Amino acid sequence: MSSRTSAPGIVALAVFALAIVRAPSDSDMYWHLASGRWMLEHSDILRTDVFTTTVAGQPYSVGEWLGQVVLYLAYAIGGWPGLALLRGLLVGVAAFFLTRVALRATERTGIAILLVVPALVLSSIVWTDRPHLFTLAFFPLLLDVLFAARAGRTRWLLVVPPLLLIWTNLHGGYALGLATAGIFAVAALLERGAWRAFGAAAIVGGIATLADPGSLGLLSAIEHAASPPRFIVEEAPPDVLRPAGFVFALFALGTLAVALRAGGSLLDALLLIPLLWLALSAQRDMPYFAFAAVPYLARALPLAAPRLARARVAPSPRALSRVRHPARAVGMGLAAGAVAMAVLGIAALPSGPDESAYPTGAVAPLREGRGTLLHEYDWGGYLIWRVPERPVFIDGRLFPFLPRVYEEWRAAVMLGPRWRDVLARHDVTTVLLRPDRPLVGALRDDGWREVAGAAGWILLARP
Amino acid sequence: MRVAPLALVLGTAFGALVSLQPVSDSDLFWHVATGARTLGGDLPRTDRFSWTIAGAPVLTDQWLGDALFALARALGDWRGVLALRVVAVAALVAIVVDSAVRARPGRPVVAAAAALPAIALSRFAWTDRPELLGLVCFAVLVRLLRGGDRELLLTLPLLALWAQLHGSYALGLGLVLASCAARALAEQRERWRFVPIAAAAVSATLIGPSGLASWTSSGGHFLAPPRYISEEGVPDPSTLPGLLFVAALALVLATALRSPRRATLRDLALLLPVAFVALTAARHTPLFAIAAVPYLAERWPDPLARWRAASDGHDRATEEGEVSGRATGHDRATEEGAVSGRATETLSTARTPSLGRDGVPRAAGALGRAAAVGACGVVLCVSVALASGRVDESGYPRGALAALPAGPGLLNQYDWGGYLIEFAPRAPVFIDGRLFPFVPAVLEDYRAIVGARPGWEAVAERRGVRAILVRPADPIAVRAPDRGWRVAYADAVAVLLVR
Repeated sequence: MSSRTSAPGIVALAVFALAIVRAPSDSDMYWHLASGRWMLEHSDILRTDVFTTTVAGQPYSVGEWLGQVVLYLAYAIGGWPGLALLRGLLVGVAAFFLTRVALRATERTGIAILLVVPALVLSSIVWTDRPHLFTLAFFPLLLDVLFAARAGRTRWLLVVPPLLLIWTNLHGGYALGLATAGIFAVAALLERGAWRAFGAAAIVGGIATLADPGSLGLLSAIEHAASPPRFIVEEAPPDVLRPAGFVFALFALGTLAVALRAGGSLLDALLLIPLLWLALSAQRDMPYFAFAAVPYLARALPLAAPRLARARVAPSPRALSRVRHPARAVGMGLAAGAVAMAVLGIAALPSGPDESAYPTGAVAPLREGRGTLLHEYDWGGYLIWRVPERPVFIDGRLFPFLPRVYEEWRAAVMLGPRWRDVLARHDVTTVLLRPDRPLVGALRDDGWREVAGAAGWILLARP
Repeated sequence: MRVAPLALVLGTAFGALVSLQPVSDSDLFWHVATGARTLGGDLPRTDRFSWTIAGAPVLTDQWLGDALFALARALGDWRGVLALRVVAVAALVAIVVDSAVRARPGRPVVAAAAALPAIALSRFAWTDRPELLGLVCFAVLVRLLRGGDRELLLTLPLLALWAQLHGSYALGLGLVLASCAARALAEQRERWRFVPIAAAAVSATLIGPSGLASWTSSGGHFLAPPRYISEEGVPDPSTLPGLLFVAALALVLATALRSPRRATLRDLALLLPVAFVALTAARHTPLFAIAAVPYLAERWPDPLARWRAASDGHDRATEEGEVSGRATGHDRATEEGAVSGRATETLSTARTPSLGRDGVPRAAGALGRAAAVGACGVVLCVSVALASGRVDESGYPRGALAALPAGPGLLNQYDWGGYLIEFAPRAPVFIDGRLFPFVPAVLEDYRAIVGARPGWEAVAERRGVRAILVRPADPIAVRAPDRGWRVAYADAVAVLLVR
């Protein structure tokens, strides 16, 4: 097996090993799990809110019903390690197909790996246990299919509609896949390529995305992309002075530099520019720009740096015979290393979630209490999962709470002019917040009782 | 330095337009107050405006910029400040458009279109601060860096001046060094000459009262921008400036991808560092759009090319020659610095000495240019004269000024610090837009009190805060009355609370 053939598998195994050792900790994971559990228990799709006091019974959809069910099934079958394994599997799929995409663009395995690794490092910001992981896995898969079809294997396009059908039920990021398929179709049309095949794949794929009983809707997905909620960290624009933002900046500026020196195709422009806009809109979308930039950079980098290209001298057959065996040995060594990593990773699978960022000590007193609970936004999902007896005020599903509930929550916690009205209107009896919130000081002054507390949280009850 | 007529016209037009914008920037006032002291022969090296850091060292890295604004104020009151802004904006737009015209001579539509993103994006920096003067310096630098050795040498006095005007000179220094490196890489002969130029560029930025401290100030600001100040936030495409920046970036990327002609190392040395700096903070985004103007102008297709070809067969041949040149040997020529200007210079030497490039006698040409510049000056003077010469105080606590207690003890909204320095000198401020002297201790205490965080009363007590002047929606404006603070003044803009 050559290094080109084995590279995707080796990279995928290594990334799988790195991904599974992280303990689950994402705040949104909990409400996704709770939603999946509800759907399996009721054999129905969750269409109205059942977790809160503020929007209880109101219709909503986050368009990810199947993703939530799969996530909960992984948990139900394998517990927290099962969830970590699913994460590793999906990240591994992403790594596998991204490496294939890179190898399609260049004959040099080294350059391909050199580009794939930082892109995967950047993608680690979304290695969280959410349906988002399906988009992370499916996007490179789709790219691989589309690039293969562009290279002449148009039969591969048959994969696009079923892929989009599954994707649309798994996660709202299907819109990205649909747009990518559309871009390839437009490029094929303008370049007089196999536009009929690409067009048919995009159109049938678009129709397939309508077959989602809990659909978020394409317009909602576009609206979300156009105006992300900035108060959520992952929805904020990238900060290039932070590690992940810096890696993204390297990709963005690297792409610009290579484009300035080597130019590119119409497809490169059609694909990279919208993804650059998307990445600059919200940092959670940075990996998709990097993924799309990988094949472009792999192909154009030697053109942009001709000295690099010239440095590659064609080896003589004799030299090849000398080199082949060591190269094979290195390849086998890497494969063995990746397998070992994966085995060690499985051995080090996390047995439970990392809940150090959550108010674990408040769980017991909350179960004993009654009345409406006001709490940190980030803790909503955790409370849904750990204290189902106490409906939450707000949680990471966000959209059902916009704009009214979110504004009220903010007015109360940040001590806006109407904070007393909000507490009275919702008959808030218990408050669970970080100790430095303005509301905490105000309630203490008003005589609210401290039920429990620790360094990162405080639980107050109405006197 | 000759300026293209189109650049003069557009510079004048935008200069006149910006006169409609009233004087209101919150930082202007402390710049003017600082500059006034400098003009009085007392360069402020320690704080004299606040009571929280009174006597502590403050930066002097913008002393000349401050002094220019103070001089404008002294000469013409706030209308003088407005006039300085009008002149700076006119100069900025003229230089930007001129850079585009020079990059694409004879194609005014392309040049104007290439300059448009820069004009649109820089509009958000057309404020009454030394930053605007820094932007003008940057536009001059971009133009100089596209020239030959003579222009590279001219960057030295520019850097020396810029380092006294605004901290953005640090980017200018970085670009000059990068340009020296790129030229040294691209050229085969006498590369050593870039070493003394680079050394002189570094030295030029150290001339001034701040010395090495101006480096640390600019470096610290760049590496750790205070994100809670909106202009220091990251570029956000959901806002208009952010959208314009992304559009400019996308235009450059699209042009680079589709242009048949390679960019030079010099282009890379200019565009890549500026792109990174622009990505760090929203306030830096206009820099990228300005830097990209000559590149876009040079590469963009001419929408009127077909019309020209139909009307003039010669033009068509030239256009085709241009295109084929781009795809083949032109790269190398450009790489070696043989910019179009040189070709024009060669042509002009063949002409009669008394005739200019356009065939018009030189004396008549000079007279015509002087008349054009004079006419533009008249338009700008009239626009300044017609504009409102007053400060727009609608966003400031004007009504509360009379109720402010004299002497130390006032905690003010961060954004109003400069305003109070100018309009309430009896009440020294808690904090103002100079920011860095207040970091971290004063700023942290300010945020604790204004945010009404638990323990805010102890902080106020420790600091000796007697009065609080904030916006009605600030948490402290809601909380302090509950804790016994008296509302001494309140309107839609401000609340004054007294212990």
